[in-house]
Amino acid sequence: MIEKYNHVFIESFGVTDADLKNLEYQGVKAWDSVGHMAMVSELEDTFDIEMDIEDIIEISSYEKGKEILGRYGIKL
Amino acid sequence: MSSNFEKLVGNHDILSLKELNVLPIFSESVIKFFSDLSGIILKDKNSQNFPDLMTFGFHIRKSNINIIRKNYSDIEKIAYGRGLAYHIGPSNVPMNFAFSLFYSLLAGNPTIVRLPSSNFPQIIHLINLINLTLDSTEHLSLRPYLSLVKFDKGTDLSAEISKLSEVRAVWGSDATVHEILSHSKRLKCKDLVFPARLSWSVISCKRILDHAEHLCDLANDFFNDTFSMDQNACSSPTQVFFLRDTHNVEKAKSLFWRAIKEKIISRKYEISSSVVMEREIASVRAVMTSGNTLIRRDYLPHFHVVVKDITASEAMKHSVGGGLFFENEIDTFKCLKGYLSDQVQTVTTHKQDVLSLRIQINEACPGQVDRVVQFGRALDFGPIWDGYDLVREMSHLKI
Repeated sequence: MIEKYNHVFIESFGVTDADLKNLEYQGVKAWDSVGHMAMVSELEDTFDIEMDIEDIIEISSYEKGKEILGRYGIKL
Repeated sequence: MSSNFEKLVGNHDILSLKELNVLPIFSESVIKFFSDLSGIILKDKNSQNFPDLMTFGFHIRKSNINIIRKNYSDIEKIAYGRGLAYHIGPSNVPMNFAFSLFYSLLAGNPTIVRLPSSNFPQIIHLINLINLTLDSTEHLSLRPYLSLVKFDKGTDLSAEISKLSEVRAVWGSDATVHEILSHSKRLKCKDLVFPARLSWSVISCKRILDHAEHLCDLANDFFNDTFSMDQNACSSPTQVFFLRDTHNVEKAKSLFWRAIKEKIISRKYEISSSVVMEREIASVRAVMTSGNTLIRRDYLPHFHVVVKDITASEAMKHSVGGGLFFENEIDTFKCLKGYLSDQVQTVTTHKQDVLSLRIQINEACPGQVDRVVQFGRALDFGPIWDGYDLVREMSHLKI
């Protein structure tokens, strides 16, 4: 499961495994508001979930995203 | 057909759309189409050059359609499209036609869209992606239901389509709306009109001074609401009201506008010289045609702030987009009443003040403002726009 989660961030933002732990919104050029939409869409497709807008906005980092996916029954 | 007529989506005779059966609202074929189109837009690298196109792609994804759909559970089994829908997109906001098309098809209508005459690159790109999506055999049955065309204003084609339409959705200037409405229509044709409107921001000086650490985020939200569309969208604020809820109003205003300028520079906002020139003329004219005490603050080349105690109707006369703001001060939210007209579409404010401001505006002037939203949400398109519930307005109940 965590591999799938990591893959979304790596593919969306062009980062490596080593970058993930400290990855934050606007911490890399690709994670801007546009990149955020593409990443969220990938998360929804990958885990077959439909996220609320407040949760979408709350994904401010790689780590925070794990916590938010937990609300949809995804344990990472 | 008229001169300069161009079909960009749909190979069929556009008037043949009249012969198609209407669809139920939220039909599976329409949801599947937009869901697939969303995936194609959001995964496409070139789309990422166009934030407004990405926003559209994000809006039409399956999960958001399901959220929208929940609002229509009361009519879902009995609501169908009204019939042929004719949409006229605005010339200055590239993606509006796409949202109009989306809600028209969700409502079950075969839809003709007249596209803006300008060759916006994001429109050209979206058209390519729509055609790519429709090429799949999965969407064979939906192909005849949408036709995106361009043709010159002033030709007879609008009149011809109007005669056959059951819905007309007109986005544009007052002149465009009047022109389309002047064409004869079917007795039960429903008209949805979206003429030029004006929007406001209401800013608490106290919040700016007390929460300087949030000023950068506020500037970012304000930038997204205004400059991301060159201030052309009706929901992009033009008039800015500062609330005198602290003694140091001038300091708060200065901090705010300086933060906006810094944001414009950091976001590398570019503006064409023709827009700068148009704004320059408009701001000089606005300054000259008033008896009020006026100051014009220049944050060249990015924007002008005209400090001017004028109503929304007066501001509308001078509003040209491209970074021209009118600044006022008020003592309380209730003072906004003196400036209101039904030309005000959206009011943006601090997240904490949205509810209070909405209640006070509705109490003071019921029905005069369509929406009050937090900073950063001015451009968020939704199923209710300009006071219309788009799916309900464009559908028909059969019992």
